[in-house]
Amino acid sequence: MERENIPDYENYEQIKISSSLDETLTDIRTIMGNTMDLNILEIEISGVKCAVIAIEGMIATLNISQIVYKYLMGFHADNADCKTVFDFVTKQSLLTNDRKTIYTYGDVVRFAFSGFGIIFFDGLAKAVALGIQGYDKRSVTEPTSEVNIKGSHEGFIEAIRSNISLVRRRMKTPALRFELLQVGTSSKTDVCIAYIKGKAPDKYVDKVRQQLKDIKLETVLTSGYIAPFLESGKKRLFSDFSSTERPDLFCAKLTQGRVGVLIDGTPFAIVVPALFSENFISIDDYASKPYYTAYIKALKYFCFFITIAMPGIYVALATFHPGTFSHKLLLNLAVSEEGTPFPLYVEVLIMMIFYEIMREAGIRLPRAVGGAVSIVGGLIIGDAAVSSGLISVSILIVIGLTATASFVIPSLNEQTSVLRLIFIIAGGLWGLFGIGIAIALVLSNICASENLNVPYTSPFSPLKKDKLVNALARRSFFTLEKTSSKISDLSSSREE
Amino acid sequence: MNFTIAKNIGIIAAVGVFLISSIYAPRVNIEDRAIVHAVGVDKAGEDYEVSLQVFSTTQSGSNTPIDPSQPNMKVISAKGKTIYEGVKNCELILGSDAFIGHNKLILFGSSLYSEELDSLLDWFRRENENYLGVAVAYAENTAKEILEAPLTEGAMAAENLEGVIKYAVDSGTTVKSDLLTLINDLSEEGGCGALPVISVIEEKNSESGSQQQEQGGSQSEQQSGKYIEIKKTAILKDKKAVGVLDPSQTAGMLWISGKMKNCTVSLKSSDSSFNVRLESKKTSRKINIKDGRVVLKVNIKADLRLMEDVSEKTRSEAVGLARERIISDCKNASEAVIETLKADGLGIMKGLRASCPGFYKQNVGNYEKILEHMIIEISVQSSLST
Amino acid sequence: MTRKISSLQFVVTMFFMIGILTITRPSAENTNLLTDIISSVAAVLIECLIVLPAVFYSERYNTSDPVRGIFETNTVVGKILCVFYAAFFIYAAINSLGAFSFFLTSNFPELSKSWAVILLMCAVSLYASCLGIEALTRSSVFVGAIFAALVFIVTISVTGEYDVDNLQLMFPFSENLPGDIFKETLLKLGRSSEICALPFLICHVDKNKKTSVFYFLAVKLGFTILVLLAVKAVLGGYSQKIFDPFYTLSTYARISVIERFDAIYGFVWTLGAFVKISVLFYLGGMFIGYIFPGMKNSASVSIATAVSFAVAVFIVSNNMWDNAFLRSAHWTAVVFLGGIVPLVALLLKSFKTRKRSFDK
Repeated sequence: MERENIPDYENYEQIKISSSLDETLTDIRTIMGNTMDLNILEIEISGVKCAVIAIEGMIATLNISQIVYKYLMGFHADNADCKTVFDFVTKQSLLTNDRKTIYTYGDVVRFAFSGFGIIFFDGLAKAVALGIQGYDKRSVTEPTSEVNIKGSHEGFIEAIRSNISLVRRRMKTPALRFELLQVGTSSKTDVCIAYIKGKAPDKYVDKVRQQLKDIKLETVLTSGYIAPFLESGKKRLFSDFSSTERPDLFCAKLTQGRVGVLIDGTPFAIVVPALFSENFISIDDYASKPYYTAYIKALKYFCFFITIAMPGIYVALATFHPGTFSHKLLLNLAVSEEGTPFPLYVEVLIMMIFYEIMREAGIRLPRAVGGAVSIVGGLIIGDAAVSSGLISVSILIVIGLTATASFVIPSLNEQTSVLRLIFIIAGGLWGLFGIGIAIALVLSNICASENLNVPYTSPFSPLKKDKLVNALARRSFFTLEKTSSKISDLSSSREE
Repeated sequence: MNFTIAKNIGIIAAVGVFLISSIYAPRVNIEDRAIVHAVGVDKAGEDYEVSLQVFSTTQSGSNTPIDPSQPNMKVISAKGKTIYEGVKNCELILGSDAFIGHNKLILFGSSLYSEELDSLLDWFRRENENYLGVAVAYAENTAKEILEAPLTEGAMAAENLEGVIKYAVDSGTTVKSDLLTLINDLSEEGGCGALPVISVIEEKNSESGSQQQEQGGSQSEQQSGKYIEIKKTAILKDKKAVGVLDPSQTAGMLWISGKMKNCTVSLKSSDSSFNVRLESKKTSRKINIKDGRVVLKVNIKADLRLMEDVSEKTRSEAVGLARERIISDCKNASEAVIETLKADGLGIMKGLRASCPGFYKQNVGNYEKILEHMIIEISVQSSLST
Repeated sequence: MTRKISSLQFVVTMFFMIGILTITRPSAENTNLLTDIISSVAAVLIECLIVLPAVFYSERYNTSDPVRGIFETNTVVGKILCVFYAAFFIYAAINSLGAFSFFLTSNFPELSKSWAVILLMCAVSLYASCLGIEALTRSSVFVGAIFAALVFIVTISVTGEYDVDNLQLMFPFSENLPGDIFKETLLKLGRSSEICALPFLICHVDKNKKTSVFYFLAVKLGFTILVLLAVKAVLGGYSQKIFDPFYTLSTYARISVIERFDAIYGFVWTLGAFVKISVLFYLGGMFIGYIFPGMKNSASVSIATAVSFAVAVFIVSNNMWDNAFLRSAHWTAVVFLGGIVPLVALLLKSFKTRKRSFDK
């Protein structure tokens, strides 16, 4: 009799496992197209026909042979049937920590590709998945993007379960919850929602869960694929979620009642909601004195302003409002611009583009060649351009300061790079009026961001005086002892 | 074509057109501006001769700062029916826009003493770029001569000019007069005010030519040195200059007006001459009406600092001498300004308006009569500070 | 869904609505300081009375604005009122656009042409007003901080130039002081177009509505008097001959690193004008949306913007800006739209509520 519902690679999710082992194995081979990394081992356990499937390279061979095969092959029972063997595997033995009973081919595929070994029993329409992952993964190293001095030097890695353990180690509370989802119609990437029950409002968690479930992408390879779906609106210059490689920072944000999302295959975790002021926070802030933290934060805010606006303001003032400069400065500028062939704003644009090219080259080049970039950059941008009369010295100073300031806030690199160019064009075309228009645009765009009812510009606007300390400095630990701060305190009151 | 595509194309086209049109907006690059340090105006027949002292870059190229040892200014002159026309003709000579945003001085030559300052300042008042706090002064001779005087080497010309004026004001040698103050003074009844008078002093160098050549001195050192000096003050009435005060009278005027900061005077005691520095601590002015006459009571408190070692006797006399000196200066000033020139250079009418508005209102237009019959009472308290 | 804004956001937004940077514009050359101060105080006191119905209305009927309240009673009257309000706010926007463009192009002629200034300002204000009242009011707080910094620096940097003798309250002497004060008060009232916007912004404030309104009026009065005194003390009689005395004060102020503040003032006023014009577009679009209920918010705001842009460009291009009508509204419009309509709405709604409870 011909079977109905023969599964194939497009239609297998909901189809139940067959009780006949031969049929099951045939179905699996059909679904996976006899892929070369599919290993099927047919064995007999106490006279019952079984099969173990695993994906080559995903499981720890040593584990499967020592823990699974050796142990299972040692099982003998009188009149054993498939149920007896199943009960032994599931209830009477301690093979692995991670052990799940699965019923559909969808689960079979998902667990097999997650590094589980799956045992099928002839006569049973279910299987057991054992967690014996042994795929190659990077060891926990220092985060590449968020460097600090006094804090932890551990960073997330690509394996989601390792990341989960990094978080769990730091928050030994039963209130810390993880929920695993699969996102991506083809990739079925493991995505884990992390939150602390009682801190994160349920509606936040529900919303994030729903947003993730609504993603219809085929593949999810990095956090960047998921991030737009967690943002509050399209066409926002700044992201109202934050992304971190650091487990300590991740835990700190969860403690504030936010919801975190870990994605398998990428070391960057996403946390929602985020505030603009958090771009100026680092974990070192909590290892330093409050006055020093206040000073460093003021410096960072100033650097942010410099990196975005200084070239544009310089161009605007020099071209349209030279009377604003002090007398000596104006004379020096006039002398330095005397011999250059291009108008000021063209010079600044050229140098900014040079800088962006050098910066991008420095990121993409292999490390061995990286040193050459700095030499070439120094030669081209520095000495040669000035000596040849292409640009003036004052522009070098402006660009150099802008570039250095941009390194202080690496998390805003994308935004600062683009906005800087916009400000230069605005200043070069319409002077400080153009700068005002640009700031108005950027400001209204930033102020419109609101994720999970939390305005992105909080605690500045709407002003929350008690939370302002955190944005401008940091709270003392004695204050933190008495009061805990929650992100939901910053939510805007609204009648729905 | 669907609406979204059409909308996007429309937006891009509009932005493109707008940006391109903005590129052609009239803008002047910084290196194309002639930075004016000072503006001088003289009368040349029926026309005005406008002289602009302009910053000149002698070090071109982009990797050297301004070298203060090089001459860094040039003076351009041109005539015009109005001052504005004169400036425009200067721009034609320069071949660039004159930027007066950093103008430090407006100088009127002696040929303009009898012209109303109001009309002379018209263009400066209307020009947005012009700074309201720019110093205004008269030249003892021609404005062009002052602007052309090569000031001491080793300093930037503009800063030197401004510095000289500021120093003269701070040391009580002349009055502070910026454009704003002058406009307000000229709009008062009588159009009275005061302006510094700048002169050029020429000093001949006595060193021999060969010696100088051995030392590698510059040509100008071998021949002569020109310096500017501010020691006089012009008094304005009906918006014109009517007279000039000497340093002692100027000092007195500053004391009475309450605008003296400090000054250095030479006193003579019974056994020696010595210098003292007088610092104004507080000056209070009260205007009352007594028997139909305006009485101005000025109470001056000053600190006295000896600038050299003196005998005990001289020290004991110093306070009294200083007090007498201040009173004498004030008397000289009131005689010169009020009695001789009949001008309200002491701000009497303004003070009268504030303290006795009723009396002022009754006597609007009669300021000369008021000044003629007014009484000034000066009291000075000075103390020696160690 | 009703948007909610904080008390501070409300106060700062309303502050920018008063066109603060031209608030010291003298109405006549012979207005003395005493007249200015007394008329400012009188105008604010009258405004306190005018805004009371709007405040009570919004406290009692949290989610509604007065026009909505009238709509519920009579749709036709409601629509007529909407037309009035929409026209008023568009008129105020035209006024602001024209004043801003006039100021910018006359003081900074190299920057851009008038039509370009108006176009840019309309474009950015349209974008901001489409984002909603919350985004606008949040932006206004940042703009307010920048403005406060400018005012502080300018007033401190000219400290050495303050001359008490310039503060002559009675000069130039007035022939009829009470008459002048009365005229000035009405003129100031007419320039207070923000009073008409108040009932439609106060309904968004989450708490302390009454305090917010009176804070705003106090800040307005305090700032007016501070600027009047500062300008007069430094500029003296010259302040009465110029269009925008505070701008002139900025050109006079200097510190060691900044030679003059006029360009910075222009920059800050660009931001202030942006806040004001965006709110006006938002309100104009809101009322157009009431008239045509099916219309999307962005469409109604776009209509308000387009009309404002077209008329403003026409007026400025034809040098019609000297016309007094174009400079400020009549005080009766402010009283009617800012006070009488909310009062009527309050009475109608109270009557309706009482009738409903009586029927029950």
